[in-house]
Amino acid sequence: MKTRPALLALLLVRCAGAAAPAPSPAASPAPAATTVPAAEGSGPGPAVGDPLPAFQAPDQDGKRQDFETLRGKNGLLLNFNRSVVW
Amino acid sequence: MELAGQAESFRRRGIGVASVIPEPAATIKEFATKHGLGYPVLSDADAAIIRRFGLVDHTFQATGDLVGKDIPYAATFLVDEHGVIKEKFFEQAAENRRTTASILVLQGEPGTGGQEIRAGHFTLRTSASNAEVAPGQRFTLVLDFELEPKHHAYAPGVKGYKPLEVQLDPDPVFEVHETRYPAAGTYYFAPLKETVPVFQGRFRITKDVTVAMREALSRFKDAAEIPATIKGTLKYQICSDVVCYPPATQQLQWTLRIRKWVR
Repeated sequence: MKTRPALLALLLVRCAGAAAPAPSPAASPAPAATTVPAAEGSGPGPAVGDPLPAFQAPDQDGKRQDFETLRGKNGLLLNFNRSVVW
Repeated sequence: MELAGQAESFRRRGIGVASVIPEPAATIKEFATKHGLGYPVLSDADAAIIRRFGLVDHTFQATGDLVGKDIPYAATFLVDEHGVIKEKFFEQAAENRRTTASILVLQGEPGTGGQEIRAGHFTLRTSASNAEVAPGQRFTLVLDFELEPKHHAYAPGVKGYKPLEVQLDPDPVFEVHETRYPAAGTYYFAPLKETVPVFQGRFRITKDVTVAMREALSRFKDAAEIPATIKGTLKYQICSDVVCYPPATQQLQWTLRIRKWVR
């Protein structure tokens, strides 16, 4: 059984309600800053939950690498970039 | 490449790191020898991998040596040990790039800088994924909460209470993304027979910010880097098993530097 008396709780909840009134035009979430939609997670390429497509390529030392040779015990961070400098 | 500096932090978490680049092995080797990359960078010179992954950016306007070459989107996949994609980080615009440090703090790594705030019934440590960012980069603001035992804050979607909410003051240099919350727990309050979504104990919420390219560059004039401050407000309501406190706010502030170029 909770120690909080129901009456007190009700009272406090009501107080809280008074301090934060039901959404009004003034209280509704104002666009405080430029909010951009979460584009990432979607977009081209495999999606979250998909198996990573198989791949194999040489690294800078000429060693053939694939998912199994690259991964750690908790997985792999695989990054695609346009070039070595950007 | 920015990833090189963070590779060891991922390996400490048991996560391997690799990059795929549509350049000949010789180009990558030359760069690696000169700059020391410290992690595997794979040559996808014939673009076979990016085609297979469906990552070729057909909107890319190639110039110079790149004309006629397939160029990928800048994308990063976090894959579990069984090869299943857990998270995908992707930016539509070629000028935008998420920092690797940002991916790290989303995995729970500590942020840098920030302040410690002791508020009623909780401690809040703010930090950021990066102390220094560049135009076009997307980084992460971090809020680490520690609530007193038997206290809770409310999660988004709660009815009748004020959920935790972070709002940043408008600034054209910073594009603000949606707040990321951890999975909420539930709290059953017997006297009212209500079950509400809450956060308790230690938890982290984050907010991504992108440095708007044009707006940031217009502020530099001749400086190579400029200081920047991000201000915001945390709105919250804390209740314990016995007392519910009125909704409150806390001012937040992050200071960082914007550097002109990433290199």
